[in-house]
Amino acid sequence: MTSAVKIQALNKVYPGDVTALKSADLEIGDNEFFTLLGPSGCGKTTLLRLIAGFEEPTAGVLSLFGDDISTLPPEKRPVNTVFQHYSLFPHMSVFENVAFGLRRLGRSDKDAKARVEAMLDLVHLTDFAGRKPSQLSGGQQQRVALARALAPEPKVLLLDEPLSALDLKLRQSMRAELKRLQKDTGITFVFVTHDQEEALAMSDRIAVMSAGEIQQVGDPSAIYEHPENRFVAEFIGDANFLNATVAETTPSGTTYALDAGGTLTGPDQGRAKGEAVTLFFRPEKATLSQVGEGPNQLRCTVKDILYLGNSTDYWLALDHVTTLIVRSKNQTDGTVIADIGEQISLSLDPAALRILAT
Amino acid sequence: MSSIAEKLRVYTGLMPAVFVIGVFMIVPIMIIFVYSFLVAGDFGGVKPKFSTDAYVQLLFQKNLFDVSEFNPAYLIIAFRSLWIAVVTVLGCLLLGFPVAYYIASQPEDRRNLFLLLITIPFWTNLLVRTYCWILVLRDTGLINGALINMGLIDEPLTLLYTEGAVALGLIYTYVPFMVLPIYAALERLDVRLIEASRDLYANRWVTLRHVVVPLAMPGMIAGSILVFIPALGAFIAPDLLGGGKNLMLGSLVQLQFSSARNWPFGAALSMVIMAVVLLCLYAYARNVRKNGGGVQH
Amino acid sequence: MTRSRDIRWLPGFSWVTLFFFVFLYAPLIILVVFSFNASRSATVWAGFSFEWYTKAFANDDIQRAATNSVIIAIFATIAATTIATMAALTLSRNKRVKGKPVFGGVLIFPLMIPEIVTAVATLTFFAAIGLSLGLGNIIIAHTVFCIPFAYLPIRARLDGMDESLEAAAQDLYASKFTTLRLITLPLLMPGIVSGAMLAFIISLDDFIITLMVAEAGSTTLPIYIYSLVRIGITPEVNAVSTVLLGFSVIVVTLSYVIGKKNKT
Repeated sequence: MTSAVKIQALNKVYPGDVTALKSADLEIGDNEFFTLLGPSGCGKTTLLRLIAGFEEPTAGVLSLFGDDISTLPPEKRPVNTVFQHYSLFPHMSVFENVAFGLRRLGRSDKDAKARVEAMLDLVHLTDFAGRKPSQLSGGQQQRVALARALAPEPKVLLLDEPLSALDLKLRQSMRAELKRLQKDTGITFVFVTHDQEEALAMSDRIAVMSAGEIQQVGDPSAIYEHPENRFVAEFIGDANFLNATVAETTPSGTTYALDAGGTLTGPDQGRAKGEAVTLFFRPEKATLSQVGEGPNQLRCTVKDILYLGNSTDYWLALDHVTTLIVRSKNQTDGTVIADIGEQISLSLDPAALRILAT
Repeated sequence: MSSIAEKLRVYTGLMPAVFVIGVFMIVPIMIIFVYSFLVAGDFGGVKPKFSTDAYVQLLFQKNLFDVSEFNPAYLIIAFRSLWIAVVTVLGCLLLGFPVAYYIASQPEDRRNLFLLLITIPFWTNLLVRTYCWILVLRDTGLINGALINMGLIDEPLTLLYTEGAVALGLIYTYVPFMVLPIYAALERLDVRLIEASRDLYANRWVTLRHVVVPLAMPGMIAGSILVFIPALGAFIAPDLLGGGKNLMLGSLVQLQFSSARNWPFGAALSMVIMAVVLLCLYAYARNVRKNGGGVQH
Repeated sequence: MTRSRDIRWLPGFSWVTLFFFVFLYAPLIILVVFSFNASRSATVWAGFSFEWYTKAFANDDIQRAATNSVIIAIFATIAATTIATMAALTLSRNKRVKGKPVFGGVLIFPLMIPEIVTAVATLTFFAAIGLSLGLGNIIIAHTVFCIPFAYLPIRARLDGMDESLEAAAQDLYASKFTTLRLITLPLLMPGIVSGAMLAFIISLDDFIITLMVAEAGSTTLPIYIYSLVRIGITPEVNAVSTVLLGFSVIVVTLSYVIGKKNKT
């Protein structure tokens, strides 16, 4: 894998000793749709601004296709940004906005014109070349911002939460559009978002960040199915956590004794007998049934039922302090599995049980 | 790379401003500070001899036998200036607050129109505006003319050349300085706070007193300072509307540099005015820092 | 009906506001009206006349004073606006500048000192160094106190401007200077224009500082008006004052309209 962006021990400390990025290491491959995902203040935007050159790293090395660019100013980096609020120049037309970078690179008028037209065609805005940004809708401004950043053919395109200002429907269609643009142009996209759904839907790989540190890097299914720690498990999707100790290890699997009572069996993770662990499973991995008490089943009391349309969330009390959530696909006839206050059995496929690093 | 020359280059853009204000404003003020401790020259200017006479002269006067005795004349002028400045601030507050509040509660288009209407006289010639009041207040002016025509009075009332006329002229001149900061504070005020107060059983006036006024306080303080500083050293209004017998500090300073030719005394008076002003600004800055702007959300 | 339903409405406040605007404008209106009065009286209306305007415009002293005023205002405005723009750009955009509050304080320092003190300090300084440049002395003095008036709107506009626009330009291969030329300055222009207009009006209207600093032969319009008022009220003063008033109103309104147009 050629790495488009490679960062080594990259550190950013703002005045007043605010550490925005703690010696991060990361490699982003060529032609990859790479997402930096995390809550606000996690350092993802700082990392993006470091790659763009708007900030200078406090320590560490940042290279682009093998060249160290750590100290280059933004105008010397073959990297372009799509800004969160687009940042279109309000005193220039759409055409002039898209042509801006090409002119700075000294392209001839003829070249620039052809390139701008191609870009506007790519984002379906050919008829809007003469308009001012203020005369465009949010979605159109978004596409101008994309065309402007793509026009100089950057080696890497940086996108800073570009969809956050759009409404839901438009956001969903822009996801597909962005993915298409990335495949068509073959440019590496580095995409920043706090929206986990967006990240899962679009990315080749995701880096989950928190408190200035990269928590986990992986493809969407690895991040969702095999989170490495509690933060990742909680931030992506919904999660159930159970404190337990290793009760028995056999070649076929390990049995865990729950602190709240009962046992669960899962894949062997090489833990020693008696070790305290945190178990984790996704709400949709468990099933509910009225009767039965067998292997990998837990008896619970239904505390709350939340109807969500395509599914229903059951909030279950295992004991006084432990609440589990099970998401069950809704049946066509609209019947519920249990009512509030009833006893019910939760069954879990051993393959769906994970043990988290603490 | 980051040599001293490189570091200085960062400040290039600030150099002209620092030079002009430093040389033509800060240095001159330091010079009058020095002059206030020198002896007056015979035809204006100063003699290079240290003396605190200029400050002593504020309170004492040498009599025929060369003995210093207390002379309240300048003290009276100082207190009159202070008193008129305070009355001006109070007048501006009383008039400015309701106006600022009313404007802040209007729809945006109208708010901007009102603000424009306030700023127009504010930028028109101060001399012209003060002069207008002579037309209104003098013995043959509009008010006296109207009252005599209506038969309410026979002799014209003495309106011009009174302390009241000076205060009126100053309020007229500086009330926009009061309205604008109060408006700025009230415009930021979240209407939901008023709704919350009314919801919790406070009536309009109780809400005004316990919610609106406290939140507008930074604006009221800023406005009071903006009015007080120029009112204290005012020259035009006291000169045109106050006449000779209601001398204020501003005119007194001007006199020392023109006909009286006592530069050290004028410089000392300037220092006193500056001291009062800087004291106000210092108290204000401290107050702002203490509250950390936390009143405004 | 709709008023009393507004949660913020308070009885009497609208009347105070009405009184306020009458108070603010009545003297100005009286001035304008009587500048067209055929008689010398300022109380009795004796018919419409342009007599005082004709007399005022034919007056050589008034012409000279007006010319001086405009020359001073133009030079002071250009100097103050240039200085203020450079300072505002440095303070707002250069992250490496240390001691910004101090520099900000220096820039608005002339606003914090009472005019009379500035006036005598400047006079003393010019006398001490023996500077005698005629109008030049006044231009220097005006430039100093016009700087904060030019600086404040320019700085406000800069602070309100989205800095990511400049970042976007640099991202698109524009150098610092190109960014300044193509993005920052064009977007800053409304702020510069309104700053310049304020500086111009402030210079044109200044009285006390000019009075102290002016040498013989450097009379400006406000000083001439003052000398007429001191002698006694003559209707020419009304006419000249009305012209000055009209001019200020036009400039301020223009600056407001430009600001509004550029906001949308």
